[in-house]
Amino acid sequence: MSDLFERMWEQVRDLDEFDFRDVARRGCSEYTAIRYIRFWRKDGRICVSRIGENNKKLWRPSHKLAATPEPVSGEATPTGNMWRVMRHLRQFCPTDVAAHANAGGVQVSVEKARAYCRQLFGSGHLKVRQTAVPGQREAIYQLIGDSGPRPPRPVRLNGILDPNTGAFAPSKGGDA
Amino acid sequence: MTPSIAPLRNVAALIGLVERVQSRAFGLPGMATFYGPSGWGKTTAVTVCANEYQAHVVQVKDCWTPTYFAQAILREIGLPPVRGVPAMVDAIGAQLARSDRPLIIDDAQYLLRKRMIELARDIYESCQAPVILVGEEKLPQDLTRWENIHNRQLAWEPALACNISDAQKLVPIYASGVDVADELLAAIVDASGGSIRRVATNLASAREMAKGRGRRIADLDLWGTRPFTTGQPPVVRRVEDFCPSARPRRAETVIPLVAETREARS
Repeated sequence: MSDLFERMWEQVRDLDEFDFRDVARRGCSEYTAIRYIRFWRKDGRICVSRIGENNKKLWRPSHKLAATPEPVSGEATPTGNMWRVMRHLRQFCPTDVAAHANAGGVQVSVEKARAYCRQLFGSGHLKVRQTAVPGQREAIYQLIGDSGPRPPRPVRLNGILDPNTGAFAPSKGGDA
Repeated sequence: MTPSIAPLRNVAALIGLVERVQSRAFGLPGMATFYGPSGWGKTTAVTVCANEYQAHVVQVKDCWTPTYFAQAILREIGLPPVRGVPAMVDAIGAQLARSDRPLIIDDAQYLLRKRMIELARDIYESCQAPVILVGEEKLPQDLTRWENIHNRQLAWEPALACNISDAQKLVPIYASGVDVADELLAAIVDASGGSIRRVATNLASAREMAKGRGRRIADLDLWGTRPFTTGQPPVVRRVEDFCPSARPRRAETVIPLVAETREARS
């Protein structure tokens, strides 16, 4: 086999889960990545980890155990408490969220609840039932994307965004 | 500002109940029931209590089957799905026994149908962790049909209606920046029929009204004749209230139909 083939396998064998795009991102074309994955599968080096969205296959090296989801953490966090309030109340204003989330040693201000509501509105988890009137009344939100007990949380990603194609490649670190 | 509804009487009652079950003596049963009419703030209390103890909460629906009930608890705990209800009950029991976090089952009156209450008992027997049933007013009486479950209840805690002291604690949260007069607060509590949600809605309306008029005090004069949010359906309207021509004619102008037909015959 070629050097590229071996180099790709060296990089992929340490991953927990990958698809053909992850392989291609490591330095080959998508067509080549698909061919390599087909070969690794026949060779028994990789197996299907799970079926993702749109029936996309996600692979893992055969020597790695399948990752099972961990039980929900028992640690009280501001986002965890706020998410739980949203799931129970279904319709709420930021004051509702803050008033119910202040428990278990966690402090949640109305401003923090408002910011979290806005972030989840932006991500499509919430919709606005009633718009806010500044200084008079608050917005009322409704939960429309109850994805489970783990709270969605904002993350910041470093990487490269190509505005021409809209493609985003997370940075891997290392020297440029 | 960090508002909190933890001092409300219902919240304190449920937190006290969970505390009592968690710190029970060896050999005592570990199930308990919190019951009360709809709208009295049970779900509010459950939400705060779940945040206080990081409890797992499942809200049962009328259409659920025993399999779906077990799957919902698995999902809530964050465990991977397994096949078969017995395997699910074992997985749930093992995880709850490990974490010792309470399991709160809201709207537990729906468990009594389709024999799902037996499943709740199985889960309790597997884990011995606190299992709190929250349901409507008749739940304790209905549970007497299952002797083995009725016996496993450590305590029965009734939910309390929202009173003036609860309403005063809600004022700084839902009417912040506005002073609510005592007579308006009393009127709101009377109209709300013990419901915390309605008191909060009325307080928010009073605040909006006061802010809109640039006033610092909300009182009955400001409220005027506006209707309170009472939860009652609107009164039936009659057509004659809107259309004067549709009013029935006065008694003296109504010609008896019988006489008319007699004259016509003669």
